[in-house]
Amino acid sequence: MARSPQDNTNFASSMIARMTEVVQRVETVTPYSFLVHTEKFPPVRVGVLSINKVEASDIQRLLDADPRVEFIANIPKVGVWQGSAIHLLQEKGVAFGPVKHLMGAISGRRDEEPLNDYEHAETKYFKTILSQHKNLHKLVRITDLIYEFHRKNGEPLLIAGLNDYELTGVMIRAAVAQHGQVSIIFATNPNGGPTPEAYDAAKSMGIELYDQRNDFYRRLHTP
Amino acid sequence: MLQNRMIHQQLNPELEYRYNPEAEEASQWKLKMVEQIIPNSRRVLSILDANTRLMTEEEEVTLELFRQHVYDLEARHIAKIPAGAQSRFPIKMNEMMR
Repeated sequence: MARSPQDNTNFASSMIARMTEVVQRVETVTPYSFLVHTEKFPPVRVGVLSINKVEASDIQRLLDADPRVEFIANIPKVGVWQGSAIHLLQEKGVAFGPVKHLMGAISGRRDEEPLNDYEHAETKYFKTILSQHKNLHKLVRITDLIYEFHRKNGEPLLIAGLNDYELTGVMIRAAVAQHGQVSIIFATNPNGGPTPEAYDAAKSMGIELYDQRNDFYRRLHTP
Repeated sequence: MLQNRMIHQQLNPELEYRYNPEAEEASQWKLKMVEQIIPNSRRVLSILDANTRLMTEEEEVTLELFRQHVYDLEARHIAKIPAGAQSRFPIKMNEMMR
């Protein structure tokens, strides 16, 4: 049986309450949201979902219940945020991510600013790289992992960045199963790289897999 | 071992720079891995191998785990052989080297 919104909120807030080094207490404010009280900074208002594929309508429902949330956390670790949901979140100025990212955002807080602008480092770096590419015409989020990269000189490309130290074929297949088909995967971890099996898996699915950043950047120029 | 630990603390691949494909720390980590961490580890292995008679059975197991870790590092960083999941540094080595 599916858990109620209140159960989800209790579950997420109990995980945050365990961060005793930074968190003083948590306080439920609606069935969908709770406050995180810390010693140093103003309270953080968090919305909670537990959905495998988060759509804009899920975000809207939560914002109707509590329009003041700064961060929306989704409980499933492999939950996918659809582009429509991300678009609405950006429009409303709300940060988002799995509970693990919320924990990172709270423990990494260095000033009194609200968490609305929080973005996980993995997303921040990859989005910056794509946004600043010379051949970019328009960038569209398809999911939290996949970007549609509209180019000045060719067909759009569906691109995903995967950051695993040792990127395996299994990981690539899992990412495609969760998020959908892509044309290009860039292995973004500067220390690691794909295994030979990862290249085989990608090739069998018609996906170009890049490990070297210059090859990837060049590919974005190639019509 | 202290030198290796310091390099690891400052540059290990679990640090936040891992999310940046253009991170310069990655080049430093790879260089120091080949020039310092692996040679230092080889020296530690030689010293420990010469002193196995002083070890408990558990310490000998730790030594073998460390040896596999060093071999995996060499395979990845020197021979450039993709070896799959790598063995981790055995934490008990820290106690053993005190």
